Amino acid sequence: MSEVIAQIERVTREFKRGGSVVRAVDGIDLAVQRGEFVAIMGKSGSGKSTLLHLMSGLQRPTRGRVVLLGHDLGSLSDDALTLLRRQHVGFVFQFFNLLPTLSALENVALPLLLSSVRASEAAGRARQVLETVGLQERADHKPDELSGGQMQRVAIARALVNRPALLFADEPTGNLDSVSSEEILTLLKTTQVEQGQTIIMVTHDAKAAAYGDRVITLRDGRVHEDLATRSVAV
Amino acid sequence: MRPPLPVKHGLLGLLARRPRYGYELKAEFDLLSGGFWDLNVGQIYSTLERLLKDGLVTLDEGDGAGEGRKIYRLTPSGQAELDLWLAQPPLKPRPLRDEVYVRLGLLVDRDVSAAFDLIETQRRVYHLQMAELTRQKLALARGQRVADLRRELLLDAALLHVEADLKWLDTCDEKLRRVRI
Repeated sequence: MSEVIAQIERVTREFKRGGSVVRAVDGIDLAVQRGEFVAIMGKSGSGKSTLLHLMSGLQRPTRGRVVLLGHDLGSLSDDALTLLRRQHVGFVFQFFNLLPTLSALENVALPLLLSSVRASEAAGRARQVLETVGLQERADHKPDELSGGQMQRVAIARALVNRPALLFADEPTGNLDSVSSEEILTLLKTTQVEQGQTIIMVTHDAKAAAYGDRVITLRDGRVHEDLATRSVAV
Repeated sequence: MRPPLPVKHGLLGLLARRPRYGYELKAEFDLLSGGFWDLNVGQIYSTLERLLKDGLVTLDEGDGAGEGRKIYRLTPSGQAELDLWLAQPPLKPRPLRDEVYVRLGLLVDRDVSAAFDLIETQRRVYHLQMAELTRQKLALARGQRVADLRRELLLDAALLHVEADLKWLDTCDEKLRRVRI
């Protein structure tokens, strides 16, 4: 049964740049179902990263409504919004954003420690998730002892350790070579297929977008195309 | 004319590994080419005829009856021909022969809005094709068998070609928009 997990309605986001107002996102309507893998494509400046920030509650819209897991984000305080994100949303970024002084295991355990999970339990769960991304043997390595692909796998493990309802990925392969990119995308796809993980991924790479069930192309802050790619024979 | 498919040398290469029945060669050839060429059994047998005539293969009667039970074997001159072909200089780049280039080229000064429509519909086709090729890639058992690796490499080639076509459409779109202003 389909269930809408994230929804935005007539959402607009404007920025002041110099003396003028730039409309990065221009009245977008979008609904994402639980278990979907949605790829958002577009050139730089098309509004795709802003859209991701709005849908995930990292930014608030200038106009319009964002509903995440049944919560109207406009009605939440900043603290309540932070809590909602911490508990139910995972993020993966282009530049990994790992803490350089912590080991892979400690980086993965961090979100649990922030949610007041006991240290021993946090370490156990972090180890488990590291194993699912194939990095159990790198648990004690610091980020600078890992390759780009391995760092991104740690970042994915960190994003998944809280079992988030929604995983947002912003150009997760933007800083990786093509073979590491494939490994990362295959890993994301596997979490979707095997665990029903909902994924919303921004990318400028059509090869990466091809892992999604749905490819949304933005142009000038609007949805130019919304294409379902699931099990269509070509 | 499209460049001829390297059926002849593909068959020689398969026979260099071991002698095979005619019916085996079709299945083996499909694996080798990743199933991207729609080759029929007739083409396989007509090529084998030619190889026999040129003395590059020989034919042993097998234990059963009928055409399919005959065993094809590589001759020394067949081996020499294969070695020569494998050591040939690099291939020329693929020629651009896709129908979409000609259609778009004609529409540019005839009906530019139809050109934009063509770009849009073609882009959808390419995205769907990339998704399908990606599904096929995900379905492969990684690093298990050489046949899967071969198939994966061919899927990579197919994906990268579609990606190039998609990028070309984006470039067309942008340049046509500039000219229109």
